Amino acid sequence: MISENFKEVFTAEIISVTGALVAGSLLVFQVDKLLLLPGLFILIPGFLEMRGSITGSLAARLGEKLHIGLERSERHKLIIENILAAFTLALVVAVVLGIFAYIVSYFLFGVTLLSLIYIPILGSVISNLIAVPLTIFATFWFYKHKIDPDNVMGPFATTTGDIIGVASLLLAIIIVI
Amino acid sequence: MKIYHKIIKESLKIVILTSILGSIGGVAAATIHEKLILFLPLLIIMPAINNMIGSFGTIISSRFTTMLFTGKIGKDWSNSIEFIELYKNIVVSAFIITVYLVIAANVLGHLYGFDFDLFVMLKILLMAIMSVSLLVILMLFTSVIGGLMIFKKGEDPDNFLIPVNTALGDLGSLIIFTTLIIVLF
Repeated sequence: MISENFKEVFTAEIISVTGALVAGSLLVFQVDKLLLLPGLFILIPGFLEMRGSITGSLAARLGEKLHIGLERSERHKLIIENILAAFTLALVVAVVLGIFAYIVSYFLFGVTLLSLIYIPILGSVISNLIAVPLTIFATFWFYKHKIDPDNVMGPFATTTGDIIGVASLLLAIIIVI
Repeated sequence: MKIYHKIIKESLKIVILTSILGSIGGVAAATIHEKLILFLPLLIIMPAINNMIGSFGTIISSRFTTMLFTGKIGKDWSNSIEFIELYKNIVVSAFIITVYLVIAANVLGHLYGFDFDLFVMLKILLMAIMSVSLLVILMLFTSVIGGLMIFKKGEDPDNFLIPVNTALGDLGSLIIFTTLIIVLF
């Protein structure tokens, strides 16, 4: 006797945590850098939080507008302005997170590396280049196939957000360090 | 650029705030970074535990608010069938998913070269169950107390519960998990 509510909660959660597990596994590839630069541990949870918030709310906004119904010209404007907003938000938050990690790292470990500011900035650009188009495409795809984006885009955004977020940060670490 | 300005105006502060809260939790993790790197399953499982508790926070908050608005819950919340069902669903899901995460993290850790140790796996399981149980109970408690108070004032509890429970989940999971790592490893 498994209730519908249980099935919904359990399925969404299992998909979401599996994505986070993949993200955690990706971290193993850069343990040497993590050991050298412990400030990255300060950066990662905040960065993933930012990634989830930006793509999650982007999907929610698009889903809401699709339900209301949009003209073709309105749709174009909506997408362009949402993309610009996602990039602006990610860049501003990445700078704030970088400065925060830099300051805390200095007080906690006595390490002053400007890389801690450059890494989230570069990581946010890389992750946005992948996550934003993917989120927009998935929202429209689900809607077109009669699947309510409101029900699926939450776990989709957090799962892809975690994987893309960690992969982008690791790529940024490789480029910067 | 009306949509753009609206999004920036409404989202910037809250995204900065939640990200900084996440990073404050990361400060706790940074203090034990050597242990996280030494015990790879811990490093692998940490983002997943954080993710799971955050998601449960959102589910508890939004479901509890819906129950309040639909009149399925009131002052006698402890006798509400809907609330008991929510509680059971969350606890059972959390337990099964936690066990799944611990096993998966150990298998993945082993694939990356960490020597499998049953005792270490059991310690991680104990830590994960303790962190998840503590935070889920805390979030249910916050939802009942906070939700009923806000609803009584005629306001939407979602606006209070979702940020509070998300912050509790993000910050709390990393802080509790870190404390338990210091104690057990």
